[in-house]
Amino acid sequence: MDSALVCQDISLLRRGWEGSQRAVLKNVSAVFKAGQVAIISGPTGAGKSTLLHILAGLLRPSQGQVLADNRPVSRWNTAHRDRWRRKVGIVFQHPRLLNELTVLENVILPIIPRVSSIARLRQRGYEALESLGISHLAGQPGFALSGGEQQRVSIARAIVSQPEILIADEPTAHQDETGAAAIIHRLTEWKRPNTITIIAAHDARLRRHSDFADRQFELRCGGLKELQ
Amino acid sequence: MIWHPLLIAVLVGDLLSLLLLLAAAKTAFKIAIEWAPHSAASRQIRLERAAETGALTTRFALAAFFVASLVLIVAITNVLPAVIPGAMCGTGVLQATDGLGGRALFYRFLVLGIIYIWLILEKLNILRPDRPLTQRNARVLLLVLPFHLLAVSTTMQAVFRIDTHQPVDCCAVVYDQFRNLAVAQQTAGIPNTLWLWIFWTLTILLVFSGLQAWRAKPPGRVKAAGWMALLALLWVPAAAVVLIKVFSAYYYQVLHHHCPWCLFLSDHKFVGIPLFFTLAVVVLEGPTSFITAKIAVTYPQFVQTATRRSQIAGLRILLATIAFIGMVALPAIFWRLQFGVWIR
Repeated sequence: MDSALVCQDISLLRRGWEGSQRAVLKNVSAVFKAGQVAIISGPTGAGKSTLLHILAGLLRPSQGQVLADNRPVSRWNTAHRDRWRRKVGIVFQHPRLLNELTVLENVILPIIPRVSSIARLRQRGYEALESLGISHLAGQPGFALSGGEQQRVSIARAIVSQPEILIADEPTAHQDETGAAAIIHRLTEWKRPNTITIIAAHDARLRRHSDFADRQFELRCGGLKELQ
Repeated sequence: MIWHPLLIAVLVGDLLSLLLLLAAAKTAFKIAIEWAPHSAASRQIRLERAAETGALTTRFALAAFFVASLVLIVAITNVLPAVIPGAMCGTGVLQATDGLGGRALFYRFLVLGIIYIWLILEKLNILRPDRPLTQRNARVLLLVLPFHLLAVSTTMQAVFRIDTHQPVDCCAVVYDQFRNLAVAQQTAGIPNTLWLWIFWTLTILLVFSGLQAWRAKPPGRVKAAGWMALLALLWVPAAAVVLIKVFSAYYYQVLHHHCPWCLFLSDHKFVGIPLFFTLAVVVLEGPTSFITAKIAVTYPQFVQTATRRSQIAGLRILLATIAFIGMVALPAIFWRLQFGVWIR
């Protein structure tokens, strides 16, 4: 059976300033299958990033569950959830690079506990940077990069561990045409039979590539709807 | 009451552990009545998060209580005897608490024992993402609370009862027990030589049952581990009696000084610490072996890990028994070889 990431009736409540509870997500259900790329679009503040964080195991929903291969990963305790999260690569909306480290060091961070040889670590880091056309930045410190370059480094950091689930939040947001094309090309290459890719996108360039996304969803007022 | 730094540390540690345990018990109570593992409702999800926090809180409570208990034992055995007039060891200190000290220690060991079982179950529980032992563990935690309250309140009463202006008759408490030689040579109406036979018989049975339990496979393991747990719980009082009434003489090198606390003094190279530690290992690991063997049968998902833990418990009992026998028998054998007689 192909692996799948399933949202089952997920709701997330947030407490407002006045103490009342506001539903950020309301009974969201969806199935994300391996080998497919799903794009989630929607207006600002609709809850796209929140949904991605729940899918990646960074947030626990107030109700409902995320099932990975029929196992309720969103309800697991910290130790088990952390272990499962090693299979997930995340591209955040803001790159969140560590400024004290070089680009290469930032990229290899997720695989340090899993790869024993330093030479192999560096090689994997270079390969990830190379695939996005930014290997020349390897020795630069994180703070010296532009917003678009930082975003591409964060994508390299997400794919370096060859995750089974790739979750990307606005990966082309700060890119010019060339950068966006490189990222779309890389994400298209990433489409593999055993990989689930979920992308939150505002950017019309991503949605225009009809051959890129297998399924498109729209998140509006906390509810998720699949577009035909 | 004396404001000794160690006693203040004990009271602070006790109150801290009590507060932490009360916080964890609130969650445990909810888990005991509301836990619904198959539901994905918001109440259950909140409870699952609270369960994780509660388990962490209980670990901190256990750590605080354990450290406070260690500090209390050090204070009783090696610090307070110098402060209380007439006290030469823990016996004098406990006498100064009007018997409350002994009761407090009993409750403390009981609490540590129950929380140890909780810890063993929790360590198994977190190995599985679905945490099948959560509700059972919550009940164990709720069982601890009344004893913890008793332990803390009795310890406080005992500490407040200490009067450094009132002298105690330390050794008189030990020697006053004997009206004549016959009384000195028996415990609970049973002659000490018979206690010795009981001890050796139970030791052989314990070792034999330990080997049986090691070899047995589930579900037969439950019975074997049950026997071992029962024998361990019978062996410990017998071992304590023969240690105090028979073997301690070879450390003290005087006749009929039946005091458990003097073994903790530097004069006797703090030998009481390893001796009573081995007894604690046997009394804790006995029930652990049985409970984990039972868990392996009741919850098939734990069959490997729980069986392994049960085997480790058996091994620890075996090693602790051997260490105890070595520590009590070797001085006696050396004495016999040196002087040609036993002390009795």
